[in-house]
Amino acid sequence: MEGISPRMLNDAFNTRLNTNEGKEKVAQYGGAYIRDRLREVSFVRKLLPSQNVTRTDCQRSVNHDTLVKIIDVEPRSRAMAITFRGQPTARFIRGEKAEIAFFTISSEIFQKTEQELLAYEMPITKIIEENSVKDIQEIEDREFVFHIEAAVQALQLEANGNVLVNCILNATTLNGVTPPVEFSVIKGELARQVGTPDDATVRPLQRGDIVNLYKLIDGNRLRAERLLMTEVDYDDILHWTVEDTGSKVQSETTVEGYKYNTLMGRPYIRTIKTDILRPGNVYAFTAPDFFGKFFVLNATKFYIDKIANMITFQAWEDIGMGVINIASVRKLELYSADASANDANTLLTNFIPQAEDNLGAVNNRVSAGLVFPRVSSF
Amino acid sequence: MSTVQRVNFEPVRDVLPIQRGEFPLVDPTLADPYNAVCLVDGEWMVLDPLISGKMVRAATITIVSNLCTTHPYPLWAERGRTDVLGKAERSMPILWLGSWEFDTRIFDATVVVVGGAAITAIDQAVTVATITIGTRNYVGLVGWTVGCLGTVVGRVTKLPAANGGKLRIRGGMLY
Repeated sequence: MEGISPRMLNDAFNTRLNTNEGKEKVAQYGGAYIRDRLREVSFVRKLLPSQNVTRTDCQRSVNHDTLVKIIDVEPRSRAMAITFRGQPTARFIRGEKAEIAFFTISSEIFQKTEQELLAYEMPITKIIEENSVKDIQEIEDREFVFHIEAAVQALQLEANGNVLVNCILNATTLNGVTPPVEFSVIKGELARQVGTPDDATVRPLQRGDIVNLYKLIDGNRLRAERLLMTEVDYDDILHWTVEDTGSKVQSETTVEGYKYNTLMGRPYIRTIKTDILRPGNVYAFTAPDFFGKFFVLNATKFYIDKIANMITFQAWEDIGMGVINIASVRKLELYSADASANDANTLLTNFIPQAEDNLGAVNNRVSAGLVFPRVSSF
Repeated sequence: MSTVQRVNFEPVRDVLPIQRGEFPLVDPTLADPYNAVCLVDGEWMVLDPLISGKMVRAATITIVSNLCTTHPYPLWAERGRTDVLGKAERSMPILWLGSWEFDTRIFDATVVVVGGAAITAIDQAVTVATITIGTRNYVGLVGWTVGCLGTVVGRVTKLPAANGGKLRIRGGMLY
């Protein structure tokens, strides 16, 4: 048991993949056990690059022991054409400010007795430590998806007269007499053609859908700079025909897949976390300067302790993220049902992130004895 | 009559052995400090019987003397905490498992709810009901006696008169 002293476990956790030593260790792990699923770093950090902040960058609250960081928003200004004798109007300068609040994302508290660890040949504690970082980043993404969804729905509500029921966005209302305004949320071309009843089936992504999504942002003196979609929706791009892509890209795609980093001139980010960003939801964003902030107050910290024979460890980070300019994100829906707060088709649970408890459902069925061939040992 | 302040709920024993739970609110607007009936620390919560993994107030806020008859948990988050508001799902911490002792301002020592009694003695049992403090309602502690249908959540260890206006109780999860 000397090999898993708390100090060594700490060292292992701190060994990063970008070091040769770390890579060697990860490679060793890879040969020792079967993986259940792919794990991926957070996509929010690709859309909103994280900025490290310290206590001195933040503001305290006088009402309780929490911290926020106040962000300034660009003030308004304009110019005017006047005569030689004319005089411009005045503006008493005032800039808006917004707060980003900090909170904690933590792993579970893991516990195991020293003796029971002997029953494993894989370095189970080290694997959990490595995975905990990705688990924490999954929750970052989940928080982010809720924030951007709230942003697009807020603008959608405003564009429809602040009447919630007017925001029902499904194929039925779109083909009705008074369709809702698609200001920050737009349905895909195939989704809007579905007849009643509206459903949760995700229709293939069309080239025109992407263009229409870009135009939602580009028409507001902003520019769509990035796309976020699931791997499932990205796969639909491989279905695009020679009429969509031209013969050169079509032949390349057939052999190598779609290998470009941009889609119609804008970078895209795809994710395998389909329980967080649900298939059928595609978001477009402006550059981060126009969008929001992601602050890291405390990068991932790791605690480990051993009391008698019980080993306990936990990881956590303290972050703050916020969408300051809600006009900088727009959404494309590839299904015909309503995904607004109205939940008019009672299918909303298909389109929003799953509960934290349900994230990362186990793929394998080993606990149910489903491995082949099955061997019974006595 | 108690007075609600910035901090209304303070543990007076080691908090390390206490297991804190954190659950999203069924009504996330209750975390908004500008909500007229926003949650304050020291109020009591229960898990929603219909929505798995979310919590609601332990009694109906609009009905004074409405008793809690299931097992409630004390809320340990001051009004308008930004770590609550910063998250997409408005979850708040409660004392979930273990034994505790704390001072609270969210109580009414004089009110007698159905079958209950005023809080007058050390070691008297207390239960949870909707009470009025100042101009608004809270879900806080009231006295319990035999025959009261409210769930007993603890026993008085210091009366407000001897504790700076705060009620001190001990209690914890029994099952």
